[in-house]
Amino acid sequence: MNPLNLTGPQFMVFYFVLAALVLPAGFALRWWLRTPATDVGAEASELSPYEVTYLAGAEAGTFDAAIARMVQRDVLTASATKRTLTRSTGPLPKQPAAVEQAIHEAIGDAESGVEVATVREQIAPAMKPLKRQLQELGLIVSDGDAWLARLLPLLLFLCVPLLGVFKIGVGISRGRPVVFLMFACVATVVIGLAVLGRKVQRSRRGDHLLARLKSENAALIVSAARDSSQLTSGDLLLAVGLFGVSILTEGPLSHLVLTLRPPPQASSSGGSCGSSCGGSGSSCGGGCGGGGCGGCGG
Amino acid sequence: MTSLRVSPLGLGIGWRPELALSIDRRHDLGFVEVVAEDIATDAPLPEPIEQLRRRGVIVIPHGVSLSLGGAEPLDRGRLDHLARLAERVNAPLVSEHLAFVRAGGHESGHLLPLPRTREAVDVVVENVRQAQRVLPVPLALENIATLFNWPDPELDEAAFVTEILERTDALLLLDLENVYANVRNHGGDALEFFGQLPLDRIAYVHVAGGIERGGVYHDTHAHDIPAGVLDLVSELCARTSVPGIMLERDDDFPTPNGLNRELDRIAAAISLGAERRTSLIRESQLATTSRS
Repeated sequence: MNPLNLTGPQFMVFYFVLAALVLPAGFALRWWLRTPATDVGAEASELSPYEVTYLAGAEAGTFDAAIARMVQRDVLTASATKRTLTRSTGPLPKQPAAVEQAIHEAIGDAESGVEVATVREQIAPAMKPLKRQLQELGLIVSDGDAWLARLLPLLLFLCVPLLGVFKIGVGISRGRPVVFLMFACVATVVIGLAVLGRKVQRSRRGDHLLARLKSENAALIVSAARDSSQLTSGDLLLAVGLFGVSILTEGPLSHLVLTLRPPPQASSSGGSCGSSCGGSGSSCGGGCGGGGCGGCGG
Repeated sequence: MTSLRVSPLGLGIGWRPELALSIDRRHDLGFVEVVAEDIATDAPLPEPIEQLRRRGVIVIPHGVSLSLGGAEPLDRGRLDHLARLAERVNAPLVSEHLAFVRAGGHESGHLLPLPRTREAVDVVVENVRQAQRVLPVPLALENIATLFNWPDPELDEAAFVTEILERTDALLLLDLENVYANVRNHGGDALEFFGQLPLDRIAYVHVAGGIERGGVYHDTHAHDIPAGVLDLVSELCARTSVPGIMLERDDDFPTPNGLNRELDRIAAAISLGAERRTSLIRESQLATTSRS
């Protein structure tokens, strides 16, 4: 059977069925190419906090976590309305992390602050050692493999609209209407690029480790989502790095969510908050909330 | 009346999301108490609680809304929920308050004291028996703190609690902060109160902090434990072997270090009382030996 000889309606059905089959195949190929997949070695279990944040959220997630930590330590102030960062009164630690040092330098003494997006761009080189280290541990896919894992599935999937283009040529040569098929081809290309054209970061080994880290730090996210003010700077870094800046929605650092939340077109990386904690937590018989109500009695 | 059946629980704490991290990092906890109404039984348990269970930490569901002292029939839905949760977390027991929280279709949003009358005892006993028929594990009943008492009591608090425990065969969840608060607000003697209670029925003990405002002591669960409450911990532990003692903190949550300090203070008070008890037992044995 030559699909190019199918009638228009028959080809449309064939086209969508084919797309529906090839898309998961592309996913599977992308997943398979994200090597290595073997389990995590002991050395990978001893990542530095910033390596963990990079593993979870790449550049954007690491930046957000660093900013959260620096604002908590009063090294920086953040303006949610202007989306700027300004140096504050707190000093950098004596031996600051390279990322924090780079942020501090990128902001400089500008009294009006520096836009978040500008700082993000300027400190990108400071992230490279983190990426290199994680690539050496096989947690982040090497640059070459990352391109391959991005390109091959995409090319596989783009064969579908390519077939559509051939059919459009056949249809035009036979004087048939091809508008629906043209729309279908454009839609397929857009879906393919959006779904399979995304940057490849973690290897399957990295995924395993990240899942383990998130599970091990389940208590951290539950507490951070409720009350980030009690977290040490190390815990805050890990919480934002692993679970995203949205966990700061409650508490004194909530303005960072607005300051750092990237615009939709740049939101491809970074973690997400997934708290599943259990309820309001008071044994006072409902609605007590402690000190201001005349006591719990329970 | 049967004797105590609760295995040792050790040091514990009321699990709250805000304290999840501190609790996770404290490795000497034997049990946590969860507010039953805060945990859904048709969804996965919060992962931090699951992790504690995997570590061997016992989870005890603590109800706050059964209204065991209410004149109306128990809400079967709430009772079933408590029962399901007990099974879900494999709890050795569950607990509730000797109080009522609703009447005539109105929710008080607070634990209200019961009139200490024979009639009220009958009501509580009937409700507790109904709960026990549904619950898969023993039920422990908690004494509450009261800002007022109903007039013309027929029983004092110790007699009221003891009669309910004896008639229902329930265990006792003794809240020392509530004992402390009641003594401060209404007078009486905590040690005398201990002496009248069936201490062998203690399943576990609550300890918390409060504050005095306007001449009234409020059991807030939001302040550090007063020294007087820790003294009661020691006094109790000097009198009996207590299966478990836990901290309740529901608001103004301390830092992990602050929480550890509070738990350490409880642990120290337990040790102090236990040492005194050991000495008393030894002295008693020596006296018996020398007499014989």
